[in-house]
Amino acid sequence: MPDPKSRLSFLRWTTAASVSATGAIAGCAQQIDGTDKPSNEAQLQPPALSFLTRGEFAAVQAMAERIYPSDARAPGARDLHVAEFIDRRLGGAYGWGARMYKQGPFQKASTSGHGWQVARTPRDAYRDALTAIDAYAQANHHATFAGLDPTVQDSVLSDCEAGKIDGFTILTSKAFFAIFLEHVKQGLFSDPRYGGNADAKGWVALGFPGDPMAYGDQYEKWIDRYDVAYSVKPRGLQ
Amino acid sequence: MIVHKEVDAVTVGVGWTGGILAAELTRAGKTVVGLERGQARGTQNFQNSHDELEYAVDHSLMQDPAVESWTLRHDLRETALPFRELGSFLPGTNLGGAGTHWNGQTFRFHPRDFQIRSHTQQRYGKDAIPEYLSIADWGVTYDEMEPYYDKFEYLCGIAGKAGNLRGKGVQSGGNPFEGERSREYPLPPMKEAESATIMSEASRKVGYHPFPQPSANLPSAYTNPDGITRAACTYCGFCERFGCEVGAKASAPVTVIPVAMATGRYEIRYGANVYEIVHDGKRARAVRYYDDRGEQHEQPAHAILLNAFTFNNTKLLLLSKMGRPYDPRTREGVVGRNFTHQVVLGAHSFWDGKHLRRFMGSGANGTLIDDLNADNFDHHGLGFMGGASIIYANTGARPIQQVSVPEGTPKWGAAWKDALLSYYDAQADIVMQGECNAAWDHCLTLDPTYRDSYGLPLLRLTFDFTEQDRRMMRYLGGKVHEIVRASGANKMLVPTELDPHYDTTKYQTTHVNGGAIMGSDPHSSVVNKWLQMWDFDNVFVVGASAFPQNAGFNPTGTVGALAYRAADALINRWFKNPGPLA
Repeated sequence: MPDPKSRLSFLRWTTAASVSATGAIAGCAQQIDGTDKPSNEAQLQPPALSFLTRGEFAAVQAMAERIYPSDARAPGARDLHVAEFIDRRLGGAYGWGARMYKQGPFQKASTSGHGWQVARTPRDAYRDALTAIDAYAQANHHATFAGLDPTVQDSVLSDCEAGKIDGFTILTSKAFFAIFLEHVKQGLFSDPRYGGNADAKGWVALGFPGDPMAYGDQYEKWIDRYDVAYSVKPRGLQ
Repeated sequence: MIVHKEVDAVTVGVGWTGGILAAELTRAGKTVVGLERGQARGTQNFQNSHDELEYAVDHSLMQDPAVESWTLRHDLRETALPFRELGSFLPGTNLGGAGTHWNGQTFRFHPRDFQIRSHTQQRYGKDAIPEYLSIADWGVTYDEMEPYYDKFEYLCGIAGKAGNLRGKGVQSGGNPFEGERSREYPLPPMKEAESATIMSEASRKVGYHPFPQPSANLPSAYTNPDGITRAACTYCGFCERFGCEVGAKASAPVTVIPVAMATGRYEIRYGANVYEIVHDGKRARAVRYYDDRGEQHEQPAHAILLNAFTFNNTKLLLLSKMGRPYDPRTREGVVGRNFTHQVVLGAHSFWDGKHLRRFMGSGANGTLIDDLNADNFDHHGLGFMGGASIIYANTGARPIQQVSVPEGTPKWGAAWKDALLSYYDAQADIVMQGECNAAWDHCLTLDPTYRDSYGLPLLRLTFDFTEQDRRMMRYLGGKVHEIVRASGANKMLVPTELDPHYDTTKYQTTHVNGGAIMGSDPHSSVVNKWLQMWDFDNVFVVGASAFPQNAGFNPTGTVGALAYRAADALINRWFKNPGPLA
């Protein structure tokens, strides 16, 4: 049963926020330093991988970067550690298909709309897909996916999206690509504690503040103040 | 087999309906045992849960398909395949069920919705209903439902504005199309988000009548008639798929369950997975369940109340061989018929350079129009019935799942990224929440092949979109297009076509209905107007399983009202004089 006092304890650690004359929210507003860059040391340090091989990791990193490339406006998937996120996700419960119904028989669907119908887990599907994509890149462009020029990488991804890459034995290349896009979004914008959205910079680019409780500042005070900018440095769960 | 002491009533499941019945019956002096197959859960579990990946993507509060799933076939000829992941609907698990992770949008169905078949034939002629549809009147009228809607709304502290008050007529600012209310909502509407304000103004320009979403998330602290006080909403934007960390969102664990507990006549038994109702063909005697260690139990009770999620009410009747199972080939039998979902399309307005702070919101602080719903507009010559509520929702703008890009944007690459960042906070979400009309072929039966982790058959869904659904959404998409244009949007995304087939991977809503429908004829319904089984007078089946078809609104208000109807019938009639009530 709810205790109204729990709301009081919530308010106790609330930062006193006020609206300045310029209309910006003071008290909780912090300047976002757009010049922040990860240190060279951090970039050179290879991550400890959960599931992917070094080669697979390089492919995922390069693929994700083409989905959400770095540009002058905001960091891309590589800098936001999307590949690190995907590796951890495949190494954990999701990768093992922990919440999938796995009983047989497995049958090919005769109509659309039945989703995943293979006797394999997401991590199996990734291994299969990355093998097929690199084989396709080698056969057609004489390099691994990660070793191709960005424009060539884009054409390989377009072929994948269109279901044109043979050699996939679990999902079709089209079905894999759709799932990969979802995983990239998750790596860009999930809570930083999952290894992606590095330093919450995926959220900075969007203007999403993260955990609404991070500043103890209830949106109830701001939601109908349409003229006030709300700009805070996003923070994940503490 | 462990046999427990007989009680006055046992509820299978402890969510909204099980909780309401427990509170009402225990206060009336009855002893009640609630069998909850999940675990205990409450506000304390949601203190660090603003995590889109865990809750919205990975479904932390929802039924685990690895334990129990469903199969789907699109028509009677196809071999059904299992849902291997959750997708098109998201049933809850643990105390409170799906009523814990809902958005709090709390509607009453229209008077016409309860009499859809007779109303449609009367206004549009005998041939207006296509042969393939099995839509039916509910056997209960809006006026008979009204006192129970009222009771549920005051229990929750629904925030809203009445549009049609008894003795006073149409009220400005409310929904002019709604059935007459006996009194105003318990609380005024929530604060409105800017995107909803813009879309409301656009709707008014086109000639429609926007009004605030009725919300079970409290705009201010509220003490309900049971003396339960809850805190106000913080507009954190994490309602649907999440639990509320301040208890501002109404759910059974923060309203009715403590009331039942305080009587001393209520026990909730967790980890109790009911697999059978014991009966002799006329009367049910007990329910049987497995506990978490696989031990079998029997709980005898005078009244057996099925309060599980839609699917499990029907599954339990089929497993227990109660009521005649529906056969879609002969269209005879009742248990499992009229399975419906909801017909939904989402649209978006985009404006260059706006900052709408969409991340501030609640599950129900938007606005909507009812002008294009139900029979609120003339359907002569349109080739379909019904419509949709058109909802300008502002439920949190969570960045993995609640960001869209304008029509024509590539699905990935630099242009996609640019659109994503430019329009994240410069868009409005428009949901066309359409009614779903029952078809003879659409039903719930036991799957012949696939089984759950208890070795019991999975429930098999036969369902697809119908021609009626497709025509309805094409028409509505055109109307939404006009509203979006009137909003001054630079860009838009307004779909008008449903998928080629119902897709188990795409979220529609969690509003699945039917299987144990109510009605006035035992040959075409499972329960009577008091939710009592025609064939077993001491068994009540309560929930959206009783809906003969779905309306273009969220179902929880109607589910709560049905639970209060059943409670009234049990306390004031059945326990005093057990037997058929209709």
